[in-house]
Amino acid sequence: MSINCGRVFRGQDRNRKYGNNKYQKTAAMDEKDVSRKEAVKILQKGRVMQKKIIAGLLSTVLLAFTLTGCQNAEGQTGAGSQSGGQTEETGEAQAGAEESAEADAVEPASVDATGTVYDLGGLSLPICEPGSVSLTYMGNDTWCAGVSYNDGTAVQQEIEKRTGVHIEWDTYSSDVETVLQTRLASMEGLPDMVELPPFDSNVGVDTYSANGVLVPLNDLIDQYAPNIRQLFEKYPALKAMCTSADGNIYALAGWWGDINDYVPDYLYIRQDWLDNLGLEMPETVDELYEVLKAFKEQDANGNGDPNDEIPLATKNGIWQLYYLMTGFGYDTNSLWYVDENSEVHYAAVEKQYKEMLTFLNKCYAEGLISDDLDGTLLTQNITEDKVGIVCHDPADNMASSDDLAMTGNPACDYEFMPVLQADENGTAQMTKRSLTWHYYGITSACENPETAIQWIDYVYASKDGSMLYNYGIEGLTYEYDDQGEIQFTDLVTNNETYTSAFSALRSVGAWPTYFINDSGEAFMKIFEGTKVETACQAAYNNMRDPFPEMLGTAEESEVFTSIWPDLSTYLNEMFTAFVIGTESLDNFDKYVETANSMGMQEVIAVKKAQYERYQEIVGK
Amino acid sequence: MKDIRKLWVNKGQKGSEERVMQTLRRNIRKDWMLLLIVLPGVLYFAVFCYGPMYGILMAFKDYNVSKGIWGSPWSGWKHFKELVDSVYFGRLVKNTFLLSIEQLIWSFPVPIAFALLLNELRNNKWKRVAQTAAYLPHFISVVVVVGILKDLLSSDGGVLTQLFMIFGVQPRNYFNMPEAFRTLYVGSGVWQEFGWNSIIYVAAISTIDQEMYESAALDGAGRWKKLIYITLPAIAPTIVLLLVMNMGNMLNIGYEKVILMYNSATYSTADIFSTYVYRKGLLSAQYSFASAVGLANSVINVLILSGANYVAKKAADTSIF
Repeated sequence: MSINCGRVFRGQDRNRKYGNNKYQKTAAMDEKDVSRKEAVKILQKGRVMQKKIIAGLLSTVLLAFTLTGCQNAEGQTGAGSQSGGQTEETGEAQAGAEESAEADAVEPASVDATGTVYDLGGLSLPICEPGSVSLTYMGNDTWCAGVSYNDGTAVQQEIEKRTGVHIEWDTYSSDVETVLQTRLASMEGLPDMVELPPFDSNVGVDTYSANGVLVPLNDLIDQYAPNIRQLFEKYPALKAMCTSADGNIYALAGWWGDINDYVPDYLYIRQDWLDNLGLEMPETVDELYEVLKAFKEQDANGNGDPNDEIPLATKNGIWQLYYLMTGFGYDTNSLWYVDENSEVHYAAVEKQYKEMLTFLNKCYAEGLISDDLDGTLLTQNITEDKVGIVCHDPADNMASSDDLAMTGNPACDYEFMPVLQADENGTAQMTKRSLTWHYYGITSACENPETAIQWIDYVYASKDGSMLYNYGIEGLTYEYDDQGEIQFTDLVTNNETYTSAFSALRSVGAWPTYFINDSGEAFMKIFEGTKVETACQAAYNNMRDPFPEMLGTAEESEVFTSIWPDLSTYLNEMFTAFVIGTESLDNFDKYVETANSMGMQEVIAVKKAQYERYQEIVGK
Repeated sequence: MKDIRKLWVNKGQKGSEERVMQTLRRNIRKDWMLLLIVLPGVLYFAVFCYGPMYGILMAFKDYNVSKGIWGSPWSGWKHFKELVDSVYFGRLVKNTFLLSIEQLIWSFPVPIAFALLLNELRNNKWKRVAQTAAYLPHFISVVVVVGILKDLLSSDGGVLTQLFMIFGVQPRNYFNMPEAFRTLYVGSGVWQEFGWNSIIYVAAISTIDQEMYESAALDGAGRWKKLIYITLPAIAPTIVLLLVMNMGNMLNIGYEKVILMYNSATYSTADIFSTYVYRKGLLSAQYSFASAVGLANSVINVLILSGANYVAKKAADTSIF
């Protein structure tokens, strides 16, 4: 192929001078006993060859493009095969799980055969004659490499055994939204139950309910779902977030309201560094500054080099430093907030915010904030025992950071920081993490919506379902000890393949991605006796709900999606520019003006309308 | 099949359909190997370039997933107007052009120079080693390349940073400097691809008739003269052809590497059309608007390609169409 190319390029006019004939001659002379006739033939052939060569060249170029195309996709394929490898590795663990599930299945199919049956809240099991109803579900796959719902897991089988409902799984480990959109758009091959994008997506619950893909659930819930009704009573916010602008419920939100009551998400700091330097845990802005300064100037990690410490680093981007806003007159660390007059505000375009930016600018100029602006080096820096404060992460990730740093320094001890206050008398509180995840609905293709809603009632809201969900299967993932306390088994706490307890639980199908309603108690159980538990306990009941995550109307989505992407790019860019000093803070007013001209006030109006709808439902 | 037959009937010819089919069959039988070679390329373009083309319609519609491309309402030039009115339009045009031009200026000549240098190596073993070593980076995923780059230039302890410090340059994080972005992008790109891109030139050089060099040597030409009067003219058509094609691809800078490399501090030089399309189209699901941006980009590409082709035709007597 490469030889051809050369000849063609040499072709054209210049060849007439010397190239072409000469080449033919050499070729002919090489064949010693070639007759004249044959030589002529070769000459003719040469001309044909030339044409062929041109065609060849073109195809070569095309091929080259094809190859480039392949090469671009290389990364993805690589990732794919990697997870494939993990499948094999973890096959054993899974086989074990399946084995035990099969062992269970041999016993008589009565519900209480596998152990304790918990409160069903008025739901009667089995929901239908076992095996008589089959439903399809489409959505995300397990968040555990190598394990797929499509292949079946122990918890799924247990749920099927108890409810009698057979589920056909159709789950995807990536790009699930694209799969969903094409499938829902064509209206063909609709599943019975489906996972839908989160509240703020352009194409979400609202779009699909408007064109009849989703069935309203209100009546179904009233008639068949006692546990969901109880859940709504317990969490009015959940009901509000599931309710569309027309007052109907078309989908149920994946609910993190319970778990996020427990799990704080904030900055954490190296307690051992504080101890090394004889410092107190910082609580106000001034104290924080002193601590950062000390981390920077002294040898906090005790490795003899006073210059390798990074006092403050962000996880996903420098914009996350808005978490420090409580130190500058805000009640809580949320950019969207509501004041006492029920007015909705966006903090980043307000005067007070400038104070925080000024502070951060000063810190950055003095080298107190990591210059790794998008956080790509954070893990590496933590491992190298360099990072003093991480902004920000939920409590369980603090433990992983500890593990990382301990490889370099066994003394490493990250602790959660108390919420930063403007002064000693400050009362600012932490904001909880997001309360909802994706939505889940029943489609118009479902022939047995009554069965479907009961099944959902069981897995999403009942105590019994929740035990299977969050703790797994008695005897496999947990057991009761002599005191009647739940204890996770070695499969969870001491799994060689899945070192994190969550992955271990997910490998048998617990902590699922469908109809999420994660239990805070189970979370606390997993981290029992660790400092994560301490951090969670300290934060419990001392956090504020985030700004309501309401489903938008079509018009609201339109406004939001046409304005917000550009606007948030701008806000983000300016935040960075102000902090690292490429933009003078004197231009803050101009920045607010530009943000408004880009539609800030329209977005605020949308959020306000949604907040009012929320209040109406919760207030009832 | 009937339609194809009609197409093949030449009005001026007396020949019946039968005869045309015969010729076609004969040609296919004769050139089947060539056709086979062309096939993957044709398939690639058919499936990945021509097939999705009807999606261009989305740029003129208010695309709604549930209604499909055809069923969505027409919106005329709305999305194009929105693009031109966008606060980012000027910046996107500027960044895309500058990045492409800088990329072309540096990444085009280096492989040629490398191929010429390789040609001068007389030790075949060394030649092969050098060539292989130069190819290797091509096979590294761009994620890894950017990772390596970030490590080398890390402001605390990066190898290059330490090297600069010897020359008295203060450690800085170059990834946060808008003015450094293009250099980093283009520099790492040249490093990664020059070996691979030199293959075609090495191949072109390898087919130059050795006798020409021999006769040039007899006339007293040294290496330099041979390079100037034999090697370069011989590969000139290749160079022009690839230059035209590269220019046609100029604005098609992939978003992957930029996304890996940019951050909110460098948007001002790093945000280009394709990253903008990525953020708008994929992250915020504004498909119609993103298609409009993509289409505008392609139209500019076609214009550049035609222009370059015209110039090449006039100046170097070589063109791709």
